[in-house]
Amino acid sequence: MRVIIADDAAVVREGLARLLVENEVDVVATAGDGQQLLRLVDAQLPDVAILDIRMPPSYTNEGMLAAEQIRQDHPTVGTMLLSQYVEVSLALRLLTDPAERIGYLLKDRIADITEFVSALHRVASGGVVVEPTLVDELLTARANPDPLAVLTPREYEVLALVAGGKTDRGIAAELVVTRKTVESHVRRILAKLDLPEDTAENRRIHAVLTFLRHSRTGAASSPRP
Amino acid sequence: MVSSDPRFWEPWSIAGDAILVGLLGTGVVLLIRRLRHATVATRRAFAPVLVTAALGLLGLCVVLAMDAAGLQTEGSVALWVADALYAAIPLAFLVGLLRMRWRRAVVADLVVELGSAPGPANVRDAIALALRDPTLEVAYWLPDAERFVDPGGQAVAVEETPSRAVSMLEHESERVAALLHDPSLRDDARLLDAVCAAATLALENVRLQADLRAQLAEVRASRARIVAAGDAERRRLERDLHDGAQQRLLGIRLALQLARSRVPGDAPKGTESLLADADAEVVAALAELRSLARGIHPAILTEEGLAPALEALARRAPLPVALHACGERLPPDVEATSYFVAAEALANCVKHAHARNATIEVARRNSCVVIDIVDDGRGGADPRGHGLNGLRDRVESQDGSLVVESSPGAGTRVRAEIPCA
Repeated sequence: MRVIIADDAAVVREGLARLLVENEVDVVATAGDGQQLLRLVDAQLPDVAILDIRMPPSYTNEGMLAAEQIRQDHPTVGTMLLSQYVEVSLALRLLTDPAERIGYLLKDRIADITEFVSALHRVASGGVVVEPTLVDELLTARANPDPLAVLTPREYEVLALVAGGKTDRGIAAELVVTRKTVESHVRRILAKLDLPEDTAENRRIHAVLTFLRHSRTGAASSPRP
Repeated sequence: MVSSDPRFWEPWSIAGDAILVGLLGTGVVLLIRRLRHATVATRRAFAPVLVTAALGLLGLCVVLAMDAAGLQTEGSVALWVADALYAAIPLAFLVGLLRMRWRRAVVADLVVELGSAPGPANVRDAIALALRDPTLEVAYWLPDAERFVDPGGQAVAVEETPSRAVSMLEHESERVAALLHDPSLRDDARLLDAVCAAATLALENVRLQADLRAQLAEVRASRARIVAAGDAERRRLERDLHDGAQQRLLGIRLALQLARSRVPGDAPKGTESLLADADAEVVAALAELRSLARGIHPAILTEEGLAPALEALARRAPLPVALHACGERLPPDVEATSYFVAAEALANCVKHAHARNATIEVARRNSCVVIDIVDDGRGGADPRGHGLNGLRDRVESQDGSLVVESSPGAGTRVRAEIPCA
């Protein structure tokens, strides 16, 4: 797997590069800002571009804009966005339909290199990776009345895994049940939450995340993607 | 015997009449000459004498003309009117003097009026009315700038010209203002002096009020500047923490990971766990630093705006928070104040109110942003509590208002209204 790393902090950029190399990831280039990253991606066409959301010159959303540019110009290049804090609206903007080959993780996650490398592989193979704390935050302490109260504890568990970007197969492995069981859980959850049943897992993630977000803030009851 | 002969008296009578005509004529001419250059006030004071004397003169002339024509004047209406007019001249003097005195009484009215309705426009109008000079202008002295200005603050030239006289108004030998008026007002120096004295006090008050208002405006502006500077400093601190310490700590974690992967199999016992402990410490430091940075100034507020920042705040809250906020971006200081109000109020919901639910609502109303934080807790919050007072200062620094409604048992509502064009 070939990756390019973009981060304005050299200590992070070089540290991550060395760790990835040790874990048999091919780091083809590193960049200090979004513009440099775009040039390198054009030239190298890596499997995944890893980039910080905040980068020079304005330290606001350069990484975000660079990611959108890459996704538009090179649909085959995956993007892994790293953020210092969980940002729901930004995450949902990234995970728009049809979200694929994209990941959104807290920056701290890179220190758990084994997990991070497996997340990179998922993105490289077309999957979606969603920061688990984003799902946690969306799932806990929602506004009343709680639409998720209608879910059984097991369904609640499955919902969290769906929102976190896990495939049916991944969920089955995690919960040690058959894939068929997971599929029937998911169907029931979507029906209970009045969400459209969609076989495309990435679209399903988006629908669930959007639902969780709106049920959390009470802004809307059942959004449709 | 001699006196009974009319012919004896005739020359004397003619001479007497001539002297009377001469005196009256001279008086009328003198009065007219005087009045031509007199103030309106003086003119009004002497007018009764002039009118009476002139009419008396006319009557006398008519009587003399009748005499010359050989007509009977004894007991005629003309003679009777002329005699009455001579008698009225002293009375006219009295009326004129009373009018003069009444003019000076106007000064007393002026003092009362200036005392009850202070303000630059009122002062000018009252003085103009008292002096009966509609062209009167008031120029205010600015001691610091050492120049005169009009009530609008524009510089004015203050100098004597043939058509403009200048009266300086001084209070305790400090220059206060200047009156620019009709030069003829000088004729009634006592009136002018009295009006100037009354006006000086009033204008000194006006000047002090203007000074006070200017100082208040300056204090307000400086309070707003202090809050803005504090915000900018908070943003800078947050960014420094993000770009500096946090990145370095993350770099240390990466280096520790590398070190752990390179620990040889024959390394001293405990090396791996030492590295793991070090990593755990760095993780804790990062978490503390992140929480500190968020408390200083949430990055999400700067980058994404009020609604996403409040959403994150609501998400982290240990109680369910319903949020209704429009997504539009507002000026940074308005967003920051709204955010800090919500954060403090929400913290109070948890710490003091023991609330089970809370609602945050942000709405645009007229040219204001109105933010309401309502909980279902036990109420009875002290609206002068330290946290709320700090918030009130902050909101008022932006000319806004903060209201806390918190009856015991009825929950708490904190409402901030912040002007926002």
